[in-house]
Amino acid sequence: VSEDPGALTSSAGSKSAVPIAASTIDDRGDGGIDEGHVNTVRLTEDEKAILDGREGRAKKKALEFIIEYARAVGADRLVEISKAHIFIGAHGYLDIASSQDVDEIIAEMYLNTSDRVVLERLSCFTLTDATPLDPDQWEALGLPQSRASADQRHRSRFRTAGAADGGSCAPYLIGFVPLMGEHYVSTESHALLFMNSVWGARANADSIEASVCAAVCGRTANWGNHVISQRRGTHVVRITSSPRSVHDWDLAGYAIGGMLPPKAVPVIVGDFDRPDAECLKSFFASLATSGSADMCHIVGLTPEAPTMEAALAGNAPLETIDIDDAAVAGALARVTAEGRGQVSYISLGCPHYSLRQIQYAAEWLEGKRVHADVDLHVWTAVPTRESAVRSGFVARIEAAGGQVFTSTCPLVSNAIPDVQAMVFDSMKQARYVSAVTRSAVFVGSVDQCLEAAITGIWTGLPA
Amino acid sequence: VTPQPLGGGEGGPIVVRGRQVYPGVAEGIALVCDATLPGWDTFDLSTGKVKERGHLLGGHSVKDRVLIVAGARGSTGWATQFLQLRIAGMAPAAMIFPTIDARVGAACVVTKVPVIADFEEDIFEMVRSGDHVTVNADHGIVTIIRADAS
Repeated sequence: VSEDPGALTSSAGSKSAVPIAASTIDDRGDGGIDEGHVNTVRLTEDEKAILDGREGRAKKKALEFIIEYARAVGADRLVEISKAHIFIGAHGYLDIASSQDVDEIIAEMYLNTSDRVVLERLSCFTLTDATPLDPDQWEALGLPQSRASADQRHRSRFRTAGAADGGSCAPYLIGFVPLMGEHYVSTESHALLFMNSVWGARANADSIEASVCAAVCGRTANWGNHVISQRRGTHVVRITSSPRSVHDWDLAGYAIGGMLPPKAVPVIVGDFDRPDAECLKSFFASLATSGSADMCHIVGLTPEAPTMEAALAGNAPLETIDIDDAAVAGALARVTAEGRGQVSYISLGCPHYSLRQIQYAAEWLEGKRVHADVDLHVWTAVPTRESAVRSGFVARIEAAGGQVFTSTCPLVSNAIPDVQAMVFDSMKQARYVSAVTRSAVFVGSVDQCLEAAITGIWTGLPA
Repeated sequence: VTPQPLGGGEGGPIVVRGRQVYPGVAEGIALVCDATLPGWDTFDLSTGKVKERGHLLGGHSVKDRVLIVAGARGSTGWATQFLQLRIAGMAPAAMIFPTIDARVGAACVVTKVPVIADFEEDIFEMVRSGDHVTVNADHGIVTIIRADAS
């Protein structure tokens, strides 16, 4: 393959190899393409050097992906990123790759090429997203040695390239802190919605592949949430269901997500007091499950929404959506199973629990005993669990018969137990698990979940 | 802008212009739904069928079809679903979207089939499942031959 960018073609396998450079240089030749319908992406001298292969083949391939991605979304240039949060590890979906070799899997599944490319040093601070297993307790989850070994190979490869082991879907709780205006990438839909909305940081919910490529080449498309004008609110959402608890916000988020069209930026107002970080963690998780929002304003709370007018930048909303008690009840009914009965699996912590949430569960379980027929699993990040161990919270949960795992969750680890019925305190986890199990899947508040863990009975939704 | 019938008569091809999202030219039978697709566990990889129960496209295979949907919802794994489809040999022949968001943009890059978006018209008013559609992304032109016109 020629290293001359002028002769560069799109990745192997494409039926129509189109010169990438032709769309990246202003005075390009026509190449037989009707240019009025092709988006132009301008490159800096540094980016042209990367495309030339002067910083290695991995960076070159990653940048080719980002240029194609920029052209696809309609960006006219790229933007440098300072941080990346990426979903790597021996995840089950990678099993479809043509090779067992880690470098070949990385090339095919992340860098979008069948060429032999070896990952080099990542271009920015990179923290790992949730992984396929708890690195310390995978046997207790019934996961096979083969998966653990494969995962170790993947993590080791990315650590060598400079990635830090985070292993959490909630990186904003463990030191991944992009500030207002800071450009970054994340593979976790709710996490970037949180960091964009609450901190004013800038990322798009693009993909695992685009995010890994951005970590490798240090750039992404300057488009969407990276651009001020595209962050403005488009839809007003009036909540009248008075959300207070994490569960209330979880349901409200799910109801809203299903009512927003693609690319909508909701502006939230309503009859609620300030939600805390745990409420917003669940609100954004469900909002990014039933819909695709990756930016959200909450008037009076998020920094780009001091007022409704500021959030909308003076524009009229495209639509105003009301979220009332019926809408919230309808959202719950779309996800949870009906009825009551025995349950044998309770899972807390999607997204990963904060230290405060682990403390709540530990204190709730004080002096109580999880039912003999029930497994109670709590999911969090490694540093959070470490603090919870030192605080005595993990000991209290374990004394009651529960377990605290890290770095993964039932869905991502594919460790969904084969039981008659299970309960989650998360619309997101329940929605995705429902699709891959024949078990009855219930959704409830943390209190309802813990009550079910003690009694072994799901008593159904309150009337 | 109204669609321009070619060939002068009723039932001629409909031509719609949009923006190239991913280059190339391909044709096939349209599979159309004005709803979004979920971002995880979306397709049966041995058949290319949409898995979601209750979805209008549920049970329909996207393999070799011209897939026309509203876009994405849910996980940032949306593009990964299409990457898996391509590797499994179950990818659509081409794709059309009314608009491109971050999830969909990345999916187009990994699927590596011609894609056009950003039409002046409502694409869902122009095409139905079963129509024969040519996606000429190199020229930003979609050509539709209605199944009910032949």
